[in-house]
Amino acid sequence: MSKTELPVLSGDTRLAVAREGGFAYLPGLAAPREIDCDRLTPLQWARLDTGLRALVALPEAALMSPDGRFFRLTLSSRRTGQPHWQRCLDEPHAPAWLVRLWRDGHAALDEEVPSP
Amino acid sequence: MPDTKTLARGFMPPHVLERVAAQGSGRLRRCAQQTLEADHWFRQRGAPAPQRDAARAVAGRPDRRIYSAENEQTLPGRLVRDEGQPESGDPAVDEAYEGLGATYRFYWEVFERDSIDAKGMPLIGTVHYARDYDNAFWNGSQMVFGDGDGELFRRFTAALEVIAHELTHGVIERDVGLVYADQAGALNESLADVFGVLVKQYHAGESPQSADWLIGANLLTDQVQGQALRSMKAPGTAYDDPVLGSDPQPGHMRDFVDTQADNGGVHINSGIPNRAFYLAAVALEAPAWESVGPVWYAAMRDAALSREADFAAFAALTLDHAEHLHGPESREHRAVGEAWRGVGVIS
Repeated sequence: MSKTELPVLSGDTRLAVAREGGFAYLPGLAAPREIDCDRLTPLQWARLDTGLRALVALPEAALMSPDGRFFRLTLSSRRTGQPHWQRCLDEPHAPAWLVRLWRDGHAALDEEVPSP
Repeated sequence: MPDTKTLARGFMPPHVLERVAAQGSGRLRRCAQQTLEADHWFRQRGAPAPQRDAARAVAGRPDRRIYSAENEQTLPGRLVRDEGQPESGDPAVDEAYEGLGATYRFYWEVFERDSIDAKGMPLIGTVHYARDYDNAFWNGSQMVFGDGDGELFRRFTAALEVIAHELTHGVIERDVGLVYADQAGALNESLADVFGVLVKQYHAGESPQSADWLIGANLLTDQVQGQALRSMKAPGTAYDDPVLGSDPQPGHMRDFVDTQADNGGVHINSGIPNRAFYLAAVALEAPAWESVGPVWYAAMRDAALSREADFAAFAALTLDHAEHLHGPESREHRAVGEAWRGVGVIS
């Protein structure tokens, strides 16, 4: 499973965005937000692709900070469930659009996503 | 657990996140936004650790400096209570000051340890970090405490064991540097809980039989169905709430959670060594800081403990030190062995 090369988004692609870490592991708050590409408008789809490509340049989460928090992003096939790509980003590195995506779902893609 | 395997099965409870996002006046929405935009942390992580100030430091007395981030994300923020200054009237400031002082006193009076680095390192804490920030952490040079969102979490300085837990992460970092992932990470978290709860018991003069063995007992608001964030006595029973979910901690190796989440379950599987410490402590009449606390402390500082240590390696060291400190086949030695057997780490 790649951590750097972003696969081409297709109608079969599902993005899962989870926030993890912190002083305690709270399953209800760590549950992933899932975005199915085939439910996106063409503009939302393009913005998601733009945003994810920008994330590739960000550093992988250190995973070493006691009680620090991070985001885990996973692209997988809806049909097979097979994950294709995964990244972990420390919470302070998370861009605002990703935070909105985790919080609000695909409606967050109605707003502009910065280009890489 | 939302690991790759469960994702592959389409695990998805979006209603939970949406309820969080929509709750109340929208404060949780703002909390999530502002917490996640706390982008100064990483820059601060690289800051050098503060060194002993020869003009101020006296062995046996803490050198505390409490700052306020004033709801911004700049660390350390503005100095609001220096060592020796009177109460500020701000509960978060004063709780941090008193909590760091209680933790310092514990390490000094019980282990003759002079602060985090055993060399009089200043104790730096920042409160009012970001806005509605529902977390506390150690960043390599200081402790940081959020105010909580007020709907799920109260301020993180409200629980002495949480303050002591974060300070202990600094101690662990200095003494052993346990890798913060998988079993070594769960051991790291457990040690922070063990010494966190020992500070609370020492401060209150509690026996192991009368103590609550809860971590974060004062953090949850009345709206949450739960008593704390973790229970060392009964892992997996601290909360069961529609928003937070159910406490996922196991208390025995047969229930060990194999997951990618939470850095490999560091806050999940820590329930197993946490319960081992509890079992050893309650098997003895003496205060835990006199009986098994020194055993755990000696094992943590043992040069034979590797950065990648697993539970079994740590258990073996505690048995060695229980024998060394209390004698072979002493009550303490037997209690430690029974405790690790009780959670399935050794047979």
